[in-house]
Amino acid sequence: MAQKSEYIQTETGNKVSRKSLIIGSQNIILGGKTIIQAECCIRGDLRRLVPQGQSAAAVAIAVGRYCFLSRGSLLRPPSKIYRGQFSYYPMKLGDHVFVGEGSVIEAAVIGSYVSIGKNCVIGKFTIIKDCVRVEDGTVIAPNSVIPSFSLVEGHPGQVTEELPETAAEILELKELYKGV
Amino acid sequence: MSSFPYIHISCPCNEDRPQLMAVDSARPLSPTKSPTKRDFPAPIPSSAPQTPSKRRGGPMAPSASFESTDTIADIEDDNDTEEDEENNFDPRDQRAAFSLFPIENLLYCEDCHQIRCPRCVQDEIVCWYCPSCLFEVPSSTVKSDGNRCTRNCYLCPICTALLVVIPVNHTSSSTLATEQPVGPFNLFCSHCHWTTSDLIPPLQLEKPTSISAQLAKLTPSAQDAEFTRLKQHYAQQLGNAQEDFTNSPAALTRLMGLYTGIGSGGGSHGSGMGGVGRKGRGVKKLEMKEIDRLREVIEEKELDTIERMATLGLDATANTKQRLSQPHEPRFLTEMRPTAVLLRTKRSKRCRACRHILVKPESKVQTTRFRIRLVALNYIPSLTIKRLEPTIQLTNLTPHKTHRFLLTVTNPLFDPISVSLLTPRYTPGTEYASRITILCPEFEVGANTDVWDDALMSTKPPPPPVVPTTPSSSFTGAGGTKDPRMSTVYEQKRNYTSVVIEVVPPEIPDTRETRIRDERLLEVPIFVRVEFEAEVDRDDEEGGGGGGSAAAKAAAAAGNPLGREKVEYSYWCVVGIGRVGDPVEGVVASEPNTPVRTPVGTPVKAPRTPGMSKTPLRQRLARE
Repeated sequence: MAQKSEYIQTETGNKVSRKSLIIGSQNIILGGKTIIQAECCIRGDLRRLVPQGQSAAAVAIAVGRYCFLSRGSLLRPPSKIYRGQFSYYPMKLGDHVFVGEGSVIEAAVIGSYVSIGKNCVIGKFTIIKDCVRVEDGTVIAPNSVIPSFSLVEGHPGQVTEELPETAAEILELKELYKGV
Repeated sequence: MSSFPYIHISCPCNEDRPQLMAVDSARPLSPTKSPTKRDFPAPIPSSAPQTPSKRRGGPMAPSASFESTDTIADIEDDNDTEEDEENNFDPRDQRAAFSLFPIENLLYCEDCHQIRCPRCVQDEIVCWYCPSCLFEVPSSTVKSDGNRCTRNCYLCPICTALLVVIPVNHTSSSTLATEQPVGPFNLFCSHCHWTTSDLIPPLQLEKPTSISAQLAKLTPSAQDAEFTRLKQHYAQQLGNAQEDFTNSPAALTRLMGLYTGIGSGGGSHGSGMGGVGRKGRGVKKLEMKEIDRLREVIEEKELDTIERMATLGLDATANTKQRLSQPHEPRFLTEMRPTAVLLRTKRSKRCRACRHILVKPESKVQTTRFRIRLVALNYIPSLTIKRLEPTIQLTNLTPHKTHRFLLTVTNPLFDPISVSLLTPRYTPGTEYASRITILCPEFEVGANTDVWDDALMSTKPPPPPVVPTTPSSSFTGAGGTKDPRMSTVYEQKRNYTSVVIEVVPPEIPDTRETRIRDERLLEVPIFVRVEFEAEVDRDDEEGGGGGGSAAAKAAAAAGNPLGREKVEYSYWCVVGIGRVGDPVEGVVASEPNTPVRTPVGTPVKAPRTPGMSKTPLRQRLARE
């Protein structure tokens, strides 16, 4: 019973823990059937700064379907100084993205079927393609690109192995959603 | 090693061991051969448990629970018993590890009807690409420029993170004022903050683009120079480098002449050679000799290096990994060069036996789709194991205690299958054998129908549990007071069936020898035999795989009972259950015949531990 009331379910089937911290929810898109566990933090307020008069880009963080954000993970849009101006840039997560406990994500793009382990740091403007597995405790350097079918580990993260052709099946999170 | 519990499947390449060759050829592994052999009556007593009791005769097989079935088996099927007698899979065999893979890593050849592991396939490169900029590199460029990215992708020589280009004079005012940053530029590692200005002499670029060309100019290496010189030379020798010299016989002779010329010139290098053409070769020979010679160690230079090491300290020297990743093998960090990113490949895979393509990815770099993908996951039933009692600690199993696990067989096929699980009564290959019992070794697994069918099915009552095909008397023989209901399946759903497996680990002393042999690791070999009725083979009319399962589905949908044939195949798998812990007071050796506490037939939800949410994988989830 306690388990039931822990999550708020949205129309599209997202389950968001009451104990999570979601800032700037008007700038966050959840694709549906995504689970956000307790103590997660999503910084939707950190969106692109635009000169006055222009309409700001509305989306700071877009999350696909069947994603799973474990306890204590943090999604923060990446930031940099471009032409003398500090700005945040949007972050996009694909479908079936798993984020492990205590991981900090500042990636620009994360593809579909990506599993990120515990206590990882995904550096600013990292691009992770589809079907990637990031082992626990990996630190991916800023501006890195991780190609598809990679197993990344280390500090800084290096591709150490190739994933098999069945990676999409292995990394699928539909069953996980059903279990919550 | 992977976390417990794990299930690895043995690829048939393991059976190519020479001493077992003759025996193995008799095994009906291939479904193409076996159905024609004979028509099996509906419940096949022979197929099942002859392996367990037949295995170590004498003291190792005390309670011959399957004796009755054995005799039938002997009469019915000589081949199989003969094969099974000697041929229990031993997970501790030193060769076994080479052919054991998780099912996700295995492929399946539709023509051979065999599992294919990464060792049994042949890779063919579809395309090269840079893993950093994700641009495809044409094979001609790979041939001419080597296997590294020729664009602007460079890695930090210290920490291997990607380098970015930043202006040397990096002040906030300059970036504010100017539209375009002005040079000179550095390569900067945003992970360890190494820059090319740390080098001695500092390496600075004029432009933020075409880094490869600039670096090549700034850091000429002796090896590269020599290589380009040699390449130029051979291009000259070949005349027209564009010519496809491997196909034309004339060009081939010329090429052969080139090499034999060098070889014959070896004896008389230095001496004058007749002919203009030959002279060129003679000169080249001398150059090659120079690059091949032993490396000269100059004492002064070495002393200088030692002195520098003494003053700068060990922190300023490159470690072995860093050093070997550089072509000039520098001793000091200040001599390191940025390394270009190694290219990666997309590969298609062929069966080594029949040369049919098993995997063919789409050639576009950024897509993850496959044109052909014959993975074992779609062909053979997959096994998962989970604890029946959540109190079981997988890394600390109690000796002499009966541990119950739930073994789930999931059917990926569109036909219902009947499965026989055979296991040795005691784990092989060790002095400290654990006792294993699969309570219901024969059962049915439903077809992998559509999810919609499942949704419709859920309103109907689930199919009644399958009546055990094995006579329950065989169990009483083993168990005495055993609850006969345990010989039924534990849980049955759309396309999976769960049965209970009991494991009684022995007491294993903690000596040096047992540690070396890792005796406490508890691995259980299970022989899986699958039988089902499939529609008659499509006579290879389908052009390449992928369509196979779809065709099967279509046929199943049409409900065409005609032209169906029995297919059977089998494979060994190894279940890594856990580690045996130290003996616990009060738990003594006894026959593991305590009745099962959980009522049979009640579906029990998987024990949910808080830690499970961390495990992303569906497989792991199922095992929890």
